[in-house]
Amino acid sequence: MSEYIFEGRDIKQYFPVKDFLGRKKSEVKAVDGVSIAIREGETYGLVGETGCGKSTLGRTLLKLLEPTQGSIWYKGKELTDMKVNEMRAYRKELQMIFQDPYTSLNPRKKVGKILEEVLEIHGQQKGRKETVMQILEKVGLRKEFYDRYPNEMSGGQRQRVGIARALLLNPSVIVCDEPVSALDVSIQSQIINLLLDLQQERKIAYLFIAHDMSVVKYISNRIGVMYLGNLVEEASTDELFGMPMHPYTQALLSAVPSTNPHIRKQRIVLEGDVPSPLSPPEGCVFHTRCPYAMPICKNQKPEWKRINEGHCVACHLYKAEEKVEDN
Amino acid sequence: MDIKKFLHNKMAVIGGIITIIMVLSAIFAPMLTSYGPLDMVISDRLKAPSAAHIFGTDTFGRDLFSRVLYGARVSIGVGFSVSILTMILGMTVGLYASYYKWLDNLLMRVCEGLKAIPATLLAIALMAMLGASTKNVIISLVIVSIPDIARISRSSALLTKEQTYIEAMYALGAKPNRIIWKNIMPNVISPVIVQTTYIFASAIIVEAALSFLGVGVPAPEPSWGNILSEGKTVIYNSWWMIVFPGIYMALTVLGLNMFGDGVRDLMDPTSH
Amino acid sequence: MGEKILEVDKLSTTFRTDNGKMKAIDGMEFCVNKGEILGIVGESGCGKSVTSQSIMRLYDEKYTASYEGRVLLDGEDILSIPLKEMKNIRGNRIAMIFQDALSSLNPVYTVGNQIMEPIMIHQKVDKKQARNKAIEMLRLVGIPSPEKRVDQYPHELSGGMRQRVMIAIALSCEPELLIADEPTTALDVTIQAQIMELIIKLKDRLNMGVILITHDLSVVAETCDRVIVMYLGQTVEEAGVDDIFDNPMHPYTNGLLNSIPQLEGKRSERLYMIPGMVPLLSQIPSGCRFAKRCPHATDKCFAQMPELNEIEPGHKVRCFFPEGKR
Repeated sequence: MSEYIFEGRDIKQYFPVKDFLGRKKSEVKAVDGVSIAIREGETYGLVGETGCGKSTLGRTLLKLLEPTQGSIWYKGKELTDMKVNEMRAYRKELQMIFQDPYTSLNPRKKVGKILEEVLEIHGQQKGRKETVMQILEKVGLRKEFYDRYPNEMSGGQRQRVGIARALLLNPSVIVCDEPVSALDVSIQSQIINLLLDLQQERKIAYLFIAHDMSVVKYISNRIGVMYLGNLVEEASTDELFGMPMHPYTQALLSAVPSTNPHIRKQRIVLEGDVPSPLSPPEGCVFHTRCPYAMPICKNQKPEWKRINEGHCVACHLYKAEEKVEDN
Repeated sequence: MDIKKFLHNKMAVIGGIITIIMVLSAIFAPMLTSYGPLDMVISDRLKAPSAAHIFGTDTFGRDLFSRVLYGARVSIGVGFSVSILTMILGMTVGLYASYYKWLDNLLMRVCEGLKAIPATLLAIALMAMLGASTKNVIISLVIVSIPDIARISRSSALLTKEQTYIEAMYALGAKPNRIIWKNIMPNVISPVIVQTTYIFASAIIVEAALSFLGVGVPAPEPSWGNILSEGKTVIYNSWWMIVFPGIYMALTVLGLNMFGDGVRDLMDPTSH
Repeated sequence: MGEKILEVDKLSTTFRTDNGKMKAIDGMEFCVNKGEILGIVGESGCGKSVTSQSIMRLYDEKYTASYEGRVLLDGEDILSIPLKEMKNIRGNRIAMIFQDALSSLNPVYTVGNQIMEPIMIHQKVDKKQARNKAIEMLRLVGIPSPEKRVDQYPHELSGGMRQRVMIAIALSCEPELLIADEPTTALDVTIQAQIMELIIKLKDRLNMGVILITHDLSVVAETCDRVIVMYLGQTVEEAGVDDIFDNPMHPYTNGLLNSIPQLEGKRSERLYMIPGMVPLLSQIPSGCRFAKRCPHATDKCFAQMPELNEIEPGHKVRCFFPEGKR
């Protein structure tokens, strides 16, 4: 029995590319063997750029996409091969907040109905309206929003509804897929504060997927960095920002502009663009853009090594303190 | 549903009014004429329009106005039934085809097969199989019209299915039927309703064609088609046999089409 | 830094909508010098895009938009010239790049064709010369193997490369003014850094004035020389970039800076939130537009509209009680 409430072990998500006859031509390796484990009540930040597979990983962990390989564990129970009907009960405890507040709510339904439907699905017969009103208040929306349509609300308000929807069933884990990326700066802070308050109150674990490093730093306890379907580094927030080890993490952190105009950063500018996930590089997927690439990086995929307590990296530059053991 | 916007669209309002007049005249037929549609007065046959018979009489001396009005009941009634049944069945086919891949292949291939045959010919063939009666006309026309509605529903449903809020419903544990009927269907129904008004109009025309050819509504029951059919032999001397039913039918179809255009413009957020 | 290339003088834009007339921007006044980057920041709906599109007169002037004020391009008021003549200015003297390069590029034409188009419209060159110029532009914006890329279609390129193509199109006629409307918002951080460096490099080379529109204050801090902060259709603060961040005077600017999680420094308890919400354009309050959400508002603020005043040299604020950083 592990200390982790939600785990994905060696998750692979490959999407077949078919030719016009329907035969498999090649595969997009969106997620290529990622293991992640989250503790109760903590926030695990998952960062990476477009196409790194972080959103796909989030969806796969919730079985919105069936994993090509790997296993998913919740509270010690394996969810991977569960049938749809059995999984339905667990969906109460594993929820998702979506990125785009403009498409994640049904435009033809009023907010109250959208939220009540959630309760209806899981069999609550009476008192739905009261429960919904309570949740609306919890996320900071006034009672009159019960009768509003989504297109009568701003992005920030819609996102609050999305959060309310995720909270209704009292989940223990919420996958937040870029929940504030589409919002204005001043609204972002409101939503982030709300998520933090709720976490404190209800001990919810968050898998916080984002590409904005400053936001991730603010909200996460631990952070994992993804590149082209692989997890390249994982550490506590302070460790990752204080001592980034993987060359990609270093470049990523140096590229983030700061709001202090006096700091003209020493920027590590990566050459070229991200390779296509249809034909990822051999060996270490980052070697084509890595300023420290060695001959071994072209041929051999680096192992996941633990460097010190809680800080792991997949890079040939580092020697392991001890190899990470499989559970 | 912005009623005010609809009322701005003059064509649509006119179309709507025409349609309503036609429908009402069909419903209230007994009050608008004292003659029965089947009452023959042979001595009065093929009389030109007059004060006594505003549309004239037909080959059997029946009052044409009365026959046209009662015929409206049949023609409009058939059109209405066909459109409603097609809407329900076509949408069901389209929705389930969009949700289940295996069903998609099966159902869409069948629909494409049906679409490959020209509508009127297909309807004639079906009538030949089933036998002439009003009920069978409705069945044939429904079969002929389902593929269009199914295709429209399916493409709207496919678009809607990709929306994040549908994914959210799945993530919340909703069952497929709930997702299909409560969440996808409301987004699909707008283009379907628009197309249904056109199907109403075309059903009237196809029914008239069938009856004209003798494989539709059987005599002596009037329908616009078979009135026109009777008139084709005497057209040179008795123009009223063709003109009045023709005008009536043309007006109804025109009204429905204009109304349908108005409904479409209403549902389309991009038109001014 | 050089002389003025653009002077915007009390520019206001009013839109006629189903719900009546709405003044989207009100009395905008600013200048852009050659070789300088002016950043316009603000949140959704503040009017920054309206400002740039008004300068280019992109709105439908027959039914929808009406302008007041003047827009002087190198001394000439382009707001008063016939609309037809704007064709010679757009793409030629003023160029614009947009946020989403995928939808701003025509998917059915090669990138080469799209770069050649403004060249052939505005300059008297033949197709071969235009194509050579296009290849040169691709090289200038840092696209490798430009002779091959020039015949590719937009969907064959990555997001960063498409944005570079947009820049190539915009700069193909060597404009005097470049308007960049959220050019990096849709891009990843590492690509964003590359694109911003490219814009700076090209600005220096062509001695262009640049207007950079964004809601990302950190991009502004890294690249702009001067900054305008907009709120609900008006300028609320204007200053050099160092001043804006070291010494923000308007409560809104302050609020914005405080509500951003900082990459450096400690994780504080909770982020600062500006209370309330941006009002709708149809419900613009009288008096100071920010008063309702301002922690320091007084009766005077609700009653009167403050003017944009120069408090310190080069630093203008629209507030009765401007303050230093908290």
